Amino acid sequence: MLFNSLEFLIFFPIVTAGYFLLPFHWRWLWLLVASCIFYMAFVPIYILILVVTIVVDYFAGLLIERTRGRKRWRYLVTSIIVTCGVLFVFKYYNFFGNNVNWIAEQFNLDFAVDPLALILPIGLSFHTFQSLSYVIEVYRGNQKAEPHFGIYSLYVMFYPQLVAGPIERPQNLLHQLREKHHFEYQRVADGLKLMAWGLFKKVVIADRLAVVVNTVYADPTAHSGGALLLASVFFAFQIYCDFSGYSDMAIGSAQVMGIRLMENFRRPFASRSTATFWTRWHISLSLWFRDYVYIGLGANKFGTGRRMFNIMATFLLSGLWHGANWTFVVWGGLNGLFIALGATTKKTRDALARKVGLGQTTLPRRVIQIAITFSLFVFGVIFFRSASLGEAWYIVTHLFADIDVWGDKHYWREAFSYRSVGLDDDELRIAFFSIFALEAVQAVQSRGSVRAMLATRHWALRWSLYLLLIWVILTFGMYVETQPFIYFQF
Amino acid sequence: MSKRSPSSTSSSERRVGSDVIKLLGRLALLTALVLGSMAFFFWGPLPYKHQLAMLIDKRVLLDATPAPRVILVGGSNLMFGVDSAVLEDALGLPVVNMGVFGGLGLLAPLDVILPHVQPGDTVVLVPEYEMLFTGLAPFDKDYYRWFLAVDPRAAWRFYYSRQKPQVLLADFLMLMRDKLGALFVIPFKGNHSLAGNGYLRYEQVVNRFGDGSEEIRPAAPDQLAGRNNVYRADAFKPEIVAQLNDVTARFKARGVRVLLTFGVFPESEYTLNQKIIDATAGQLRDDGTFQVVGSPRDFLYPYSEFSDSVNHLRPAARTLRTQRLAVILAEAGVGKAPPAGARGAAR
Repeated sequence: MLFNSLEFLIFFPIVTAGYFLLPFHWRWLWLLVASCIFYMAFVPIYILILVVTIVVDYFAGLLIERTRGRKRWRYLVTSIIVTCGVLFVFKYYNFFGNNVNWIAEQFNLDFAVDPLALILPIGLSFHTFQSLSYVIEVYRGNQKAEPHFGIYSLYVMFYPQLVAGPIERPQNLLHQLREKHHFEYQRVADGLKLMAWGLFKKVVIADRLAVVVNTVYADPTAHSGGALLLASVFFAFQIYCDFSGYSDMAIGSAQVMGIRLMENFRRPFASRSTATFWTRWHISLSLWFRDYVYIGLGANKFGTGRRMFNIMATFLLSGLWHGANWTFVVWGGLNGLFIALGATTKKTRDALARKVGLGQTTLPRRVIQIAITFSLFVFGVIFFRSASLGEAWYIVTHLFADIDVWGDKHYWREAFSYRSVGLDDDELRIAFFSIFALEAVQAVQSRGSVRAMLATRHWALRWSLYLLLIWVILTFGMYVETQPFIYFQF
Repeated sequence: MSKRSPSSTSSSERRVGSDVIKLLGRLALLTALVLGSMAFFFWGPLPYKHQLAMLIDKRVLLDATPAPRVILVGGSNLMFGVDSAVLEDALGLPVVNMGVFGGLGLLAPLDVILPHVQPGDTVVLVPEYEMLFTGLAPFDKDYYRWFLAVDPRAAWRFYYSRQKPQVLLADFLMLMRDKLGALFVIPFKGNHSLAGNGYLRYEQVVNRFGDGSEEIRPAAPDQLAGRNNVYRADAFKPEIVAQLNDVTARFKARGVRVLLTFGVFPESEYTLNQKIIDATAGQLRDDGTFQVVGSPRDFLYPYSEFSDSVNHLRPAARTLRTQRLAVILAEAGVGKAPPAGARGAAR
């Protein structure tokens, strides 16, 4: 079930009303059933995969807590192998097989791995990581094992964050599922406003930009450098609005029921370095990799060389988490490289900036840093979005191929024409204006919560803005060419 | 665990109750404001920024024209291929040109015209060949929203009642966007009436009969849209006749006469598709309950007489085509009797 569907428009009020109307001791069951229905709206049979990992990790958690010594370690490893095994079979088996087959072919070996005809279950990587964080935290002694099977199941399946995060930690979510939450006007209203803002990002911006991105990336060789550049920049905004829009809707819908999910995005495009960017983008995943991979590898304890290795390893794995394709691995590797280079060249860059009179906090320096960070992100997402490394390379090498005719206005008119990008002039104007509006709101957000600021304004202004937001969502949203959320595929 | 006193429980329940009422009340108010403003927008005096909204203007034109009338129904071969003033003069009957765009098909426009016809009217169907060979429904689902704009009840009856509710909602919202588009254009470009019926630029691009009055930039003959289409031998499906017969029965029940004649076509294109076109004309004549008047050959012209597509004529050829149409209609008993020798003269 998509958050931007009519089904959800019916599902959400029913589930929320039922949640508050039911006696407290039945609420977990109500939410669990609702979460099952939500998940089964995609591919019903795949709920069995969830059941397997839930059962394994539930018992693993109890056994880890009850035992001592090497047995604990064995239970943890068994749980990780089973949970990751499911992920491997459904997500990586064919990728692994294809690469083995390619190597066998290079060495003329008569060997082939047959592919499996499996559809990747929606959100598999998300609930796998959430389950893993539970057993790891129980093993580390940071979390008590959850004795109630239903509550544990709900921890994995809680519908707002089941298919695309935020990837929660047991310390944050489990106790909230046991607490009684009352209906509070301000909290519910704030949750609904956050959902509306997320919906705006998804249906007005992301799905509109998707038309351009899909058109151009469907056949990059048929487009000019200008169109490739536009589509790549648009994809950066598309993926941000798509994913952060989903997170807003997830956080908002949980907030309505009194459950606080972790923040997943914090104005990442205002970041002044790639390292900072990754503390503001998909925060729940970045923290997961930081806590369980980067720190596990030794973080920065063993010198610069080892630190660089740890960064690269973490980002390569993060790339692979996103998808079973070398394009994702390269994307992850590029981000790791940007961070590693950023760290090793920081002193030189700072010295250079001081020489030309650009202090650390001066506006021009900040603008340059933000622009470079954004450009590097756009460069990376070309690999993320491309179907193959060859296609990504073609785009990268053709972005500026016709720079000599950039001064010709006909060139841009053609590059941005309906025939080229799939959106007419009006739609393109709406796309640019929406991005501008988004950035304007986020600039205000840098000074504090927009909702809190609005709360102090005259009611007429607030209501006009709410009405405007709903009007814009309804009339400028893309409902005919609805796009699934990008991160569902992970 | 300490027990709460009954008074603290009831006060907390009261607070929850008042919070629920407050939220529901505000949601209801917001919903009412959204629906009210949308209703005002939908029915309010603001035109659309979309060419197909001229369907609304043409329906208004139809209502404003006294019966008995000659109502031309088809695609853009009528919009850019007929001089209705000449036709009106020749037939002595008011002419309404309802042609807008072939992509709208023929059945849906007829469905929205039906409630507006009166006994004594003559409906002349002039489908493009492409329509006859690919079907009479709109070419694209996107176009249905314009019938919703013209006549919501009729559109519900023939289309939306068979669709999922979200299709109706999405199309309604698309119409809102088309109206908003006009709101953005008017202040900057001006020269438009806020009290338009449908299309923002209707008064600039259509004359008082419904003919297109805006000059089309002519294309070179080898650049004409729709050129070199070779239709398959079985392209014409018998259900087309059945559909037209069904529509004819409904018009006849209202005392309206239904005639069908052929669209304009380049001579060379006709030669390319002669077999299928002649067979289609024969089938329409044999199996149709409507009266087929004229023949495909009556409306063939050289490429040089077409403007930008194989359906749009240049002004001089429009007059010729209209004179020919007038003679054919008059011979079929529509309006005044044709003067002796007129048939040959109009060729």
